Amino acid sequence: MSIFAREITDDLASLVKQVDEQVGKNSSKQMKAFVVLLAEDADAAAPKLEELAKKQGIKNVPLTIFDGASGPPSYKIAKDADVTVLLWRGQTVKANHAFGKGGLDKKGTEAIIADAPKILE
Amino acid sequence: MRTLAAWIAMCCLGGAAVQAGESNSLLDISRDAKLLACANRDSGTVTIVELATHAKRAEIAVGRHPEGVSFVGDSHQLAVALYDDDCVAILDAESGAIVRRIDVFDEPYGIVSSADGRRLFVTLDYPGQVLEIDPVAGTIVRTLEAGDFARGIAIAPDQSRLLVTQYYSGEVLAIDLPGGKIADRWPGISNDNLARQIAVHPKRGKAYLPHIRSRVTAVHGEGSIFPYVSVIDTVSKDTTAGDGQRRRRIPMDAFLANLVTANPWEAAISADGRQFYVVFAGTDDMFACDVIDDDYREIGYRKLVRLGRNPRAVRIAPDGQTLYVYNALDFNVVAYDTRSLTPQTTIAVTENPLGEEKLRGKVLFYSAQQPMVGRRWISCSSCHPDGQQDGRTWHNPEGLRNTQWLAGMAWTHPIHWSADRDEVQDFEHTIRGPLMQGRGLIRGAVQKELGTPNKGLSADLDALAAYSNSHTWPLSPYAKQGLSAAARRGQAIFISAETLCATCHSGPLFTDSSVKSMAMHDVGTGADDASEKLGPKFDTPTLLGVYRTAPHLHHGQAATLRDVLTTKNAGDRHGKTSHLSSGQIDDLVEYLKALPYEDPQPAAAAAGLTKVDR
Repeated sequence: MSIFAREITDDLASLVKQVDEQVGKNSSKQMKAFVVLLAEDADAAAPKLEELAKKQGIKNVPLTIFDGASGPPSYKIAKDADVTVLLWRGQTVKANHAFGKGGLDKKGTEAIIADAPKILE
Repeated sequence: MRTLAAWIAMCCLGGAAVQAGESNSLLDISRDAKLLACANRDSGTVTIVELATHAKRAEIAVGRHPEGVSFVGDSHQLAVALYDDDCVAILDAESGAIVRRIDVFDEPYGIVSSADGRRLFVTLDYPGQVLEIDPVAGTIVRTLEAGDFARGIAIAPDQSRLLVTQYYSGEVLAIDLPGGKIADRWPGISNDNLARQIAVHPKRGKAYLPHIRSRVTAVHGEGSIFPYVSVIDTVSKDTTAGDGQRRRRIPMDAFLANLVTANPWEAAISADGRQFYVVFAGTDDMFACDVIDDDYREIGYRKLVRLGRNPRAVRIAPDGQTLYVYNALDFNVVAYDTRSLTPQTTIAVTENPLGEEKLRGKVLFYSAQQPMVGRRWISCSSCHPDGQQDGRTWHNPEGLRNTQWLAGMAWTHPIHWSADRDEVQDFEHTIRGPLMQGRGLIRGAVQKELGTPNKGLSADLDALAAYSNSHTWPLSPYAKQGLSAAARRGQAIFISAETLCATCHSGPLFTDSSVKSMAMHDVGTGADDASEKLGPKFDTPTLLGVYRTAPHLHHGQAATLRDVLTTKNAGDRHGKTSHLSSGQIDDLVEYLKALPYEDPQPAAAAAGLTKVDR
């Protein structure tokens, strides 16, 4: 699962925590996930990501930063998507979710977690 | 969403087109598309090429280190910024004659012309100014303050303002031309660096600057130096806009999957605003891109084009059909068809003026590829571009280290603040080490630093040394008329037995350091940095050229020369200065700024000091 985010919010932290738990539970089924914070100033963003990891006790999901708000070109992250979640299995996207600014909420997180079984081996 | 005001401005600019000399470059094409001019930095010449035939018409000797060339309006006159001659030359491309020279204070770098040819605008890298020049009268009309180390310059399509890049910060300034004042700013982030050029879009209200990131806290192949194109929105005034709204960074190492490119040097945009190109002088390649009018991605990948050695300039013909790339270390310009991006013609613009050994060394110095570098992300020149400093203090494994200028290094061995190298050839360890991860230049065993010489073990490594040792000091601009009265008073203080400045900063090179003596001193700075592993004694740096190398001291913690002598000299451990009055400190600073006021090399030779050629 790939999570691209442009801002660290409480809802994002909650999503990351729940995904981290899912990855922990499903390690035998090869579930993996990573978070990419899309930032213009990676150095300034790094402490915020470290704080998230510490506060939420993230153990299984690498938290990374991409140096540029539009993200890696090949992923075609939508301009208005504050959070983009891609669920992959092999080379195929099984589900994706995108949320505009402030759009990620409890319901959105539940929908993402509900899709997690689609990418388990 | 773009604001209404921005939309209106875009519509107003809708009919604009790229003109000759609109953004600084080593290449320019005349408005009528008949001539191409190429500034040959190493040769000190400008080459004129007939574009109809791609024949070299003339090569004109202009002076030391031409860094920018621009056709003047729609004429066939050219203006050339001569970095180390401190002048702008106006020459006639038809006759090859130099029409006039206009002396400037120091280091003219980028040069552009107004559309009507009545004005030239040139950046002075040091001290960070823009000069407005009347090319006909040969006079400086105005001097405009432009921050620190101004290099890149572009004139807006509507001729209302200039965009100027700060070399060591990547900040872009807009200078309002009617008023001559800074009207807007687009700061980079703290690690943006080496922004030497800027190109404006003819219609979109955008400008593009290639630059690097110097992330000083990461030094071992973990992302310390990477390439970028930053795009600034010159229309929006909303300074509170979020990440990437007024200024967007596009990482060039992640532009084509994970292919790393190194040392972006110049960018160009076609007259119709659809094509964008950026050349990489470290990896010898170019991204051909489509301009995307989305205020988001901005440019889209079209093709990676392999170029010649050390490409430093790119220009597009007005009809958009042909692209010209200047390969500085192949001494040629290659024409490409912009649709197929295949090379059409190679134009030899000058001869190798360096000699074979120094050329080989320079190629290696600029290369971000094997055998110098394993991961394509850095070259010697990434921190020492053209032998200068990168304006950064790096968090090296041995402690904080302020990057040093290589000028005069042939005379000032040993090398580094900690004198841990006694020959350039010892940098084989750096090439093979975690920083560069190259295969290296020596076949077989490498001798330890400071031990048995590595010199003579590799012709390539000796060539790298020959080039690295070839950088010389320019004379200080503060002493063109000789030492001022203040500088003479400062000189007396400097050499006095009371201050002891000249005890360590001694002799014609203002240092007591030598490979023979390996003299090092504790001047009270070693305890400032908890990460320091090799201090507290440091090599005595030469003071020649110190006027342009701030910040000072090994850890870069003195922002100014005054700071070195006052706030950073607690306990008078770095010479005795606490008793000096403020006026005396000013005088001492004036003296230091005047160094060198004469070529120090004859005196150094007469004093029996050793010059290392390779």
